[in-house]
Amino acid sequence: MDARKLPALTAGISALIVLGLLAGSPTAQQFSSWSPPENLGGVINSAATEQHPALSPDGLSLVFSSDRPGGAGGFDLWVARRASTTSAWGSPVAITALNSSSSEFAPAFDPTGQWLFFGSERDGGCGGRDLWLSYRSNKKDDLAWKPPINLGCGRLSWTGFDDGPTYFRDDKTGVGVLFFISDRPGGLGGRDVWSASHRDGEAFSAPVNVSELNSAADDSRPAVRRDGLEFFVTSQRQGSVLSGTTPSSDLWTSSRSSTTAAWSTPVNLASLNTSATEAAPALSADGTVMVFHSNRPGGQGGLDLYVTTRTKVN
Amino acid sequence: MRTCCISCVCLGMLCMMAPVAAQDKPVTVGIGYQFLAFDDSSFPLGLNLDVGAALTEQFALIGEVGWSRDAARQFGLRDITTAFHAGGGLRWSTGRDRRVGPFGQIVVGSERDTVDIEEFGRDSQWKSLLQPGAGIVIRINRRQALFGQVDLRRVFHEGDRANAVRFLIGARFHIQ
Repeated sequence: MDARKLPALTAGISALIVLGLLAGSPTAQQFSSWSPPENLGGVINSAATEQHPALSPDGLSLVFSSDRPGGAGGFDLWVARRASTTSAWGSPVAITALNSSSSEFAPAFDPTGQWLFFGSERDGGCGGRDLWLSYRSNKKDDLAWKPPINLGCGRLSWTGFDDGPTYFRDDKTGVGVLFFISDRPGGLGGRDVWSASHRDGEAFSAPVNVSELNSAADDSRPAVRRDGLEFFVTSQRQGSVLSGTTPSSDLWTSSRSSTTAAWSTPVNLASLNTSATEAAPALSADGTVMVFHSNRPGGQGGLDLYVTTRTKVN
Repeated sequence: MRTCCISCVCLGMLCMMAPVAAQDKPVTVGIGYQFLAFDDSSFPLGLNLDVGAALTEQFALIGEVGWSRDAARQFGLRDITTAFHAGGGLRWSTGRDRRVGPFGQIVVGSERDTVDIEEFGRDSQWKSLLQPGAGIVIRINRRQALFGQVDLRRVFHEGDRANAVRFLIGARFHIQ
């Protein structure tokens, strides 16, 4: 090869490598601000409490916890279905396969839509409220869940309070992370966000406190975006909208640049919060729809489910 | 269930046709190792058995059954998935005179997926299957050949679709 051509060739190859790296690097998703929340209406909400929503990955099923009549006792899991993501929701149906005479709370799908995490105080747990897991082979059948199993005393569940699961899987690394709420020792105060991770095929690791998301106040029912880069948490920390003289339950958000980076300091989602309770956010798979519960004025009674949307801007 | 019955009937008809066709046309039996790769899972262990009854020098009716297995763990729970399929279709190939020749085929049928997860038990579903593919056959002698093929398997179930690539290598025997 002509030696005079070597520098040009090297520069060309370098440019190609840089272009390739740029093309392959992840770009942080950008979204518009959230729209004003809308009550999901009388088909979903009732005079009873509707809380802890979860959207299936295909956006066609809405699972939530309610103490409305017709359940098995206490708070039960109910599901409403719609034909498309722009269709109206159908009437909710109790998920008999998952409900017990005790209470069920805070459902959360895995990205496949075949696994459902939730909290329950049913018999067979570790005491208090525990994390439970169920499976369905047909993700279009909202009622055909297998009898749930406890996620393990001494591991994910303890004798106190464990609830509010939300799960994401990093497709690049094959690592899944389950975030949940617990009042176990080692937290910053009250209920805190904890996480347990696992590689494909392995069991969950021992939970660790996600200190950057927590406060001395109660931090509860969170939601993580599908890509693991954005987090929403319910909190009554300082900075929440005051209800009288005390902070109300508000929605807070945090983000990070990669799935291994630390979370940013949570920021109050002021446009969604009021002096009433706003809590238990659930995100759609694409991160553009959030459903949460609130007892703000104008609802059907008790806690109601509300929806807010945003659009991707890049 | 309906697609299962249709597939079984198709396969049965093909099996019945094979001896008839064998009276004056070649009948082949192939057996091979198959590897199935779906978007979100793969089946490293698999077997396939096919029967072909020549209609002409280049075309044959075929029937095949196959079985694949994948063992994994989900959230620490043992998860064994098996996929059994049966189907029938048409194969085109060059004549038996060429030592190395291409072939193409299309198979329609059913796939029965069974998922067995520790602590949750077993669940099965019948799905419809469409599987076009192509390959190369290397004839060792008049009665024995080696073959390799790649198929695109498309599986349908209640409005959902899944695509898989099937790699199959094996031996094929002319029994007449």
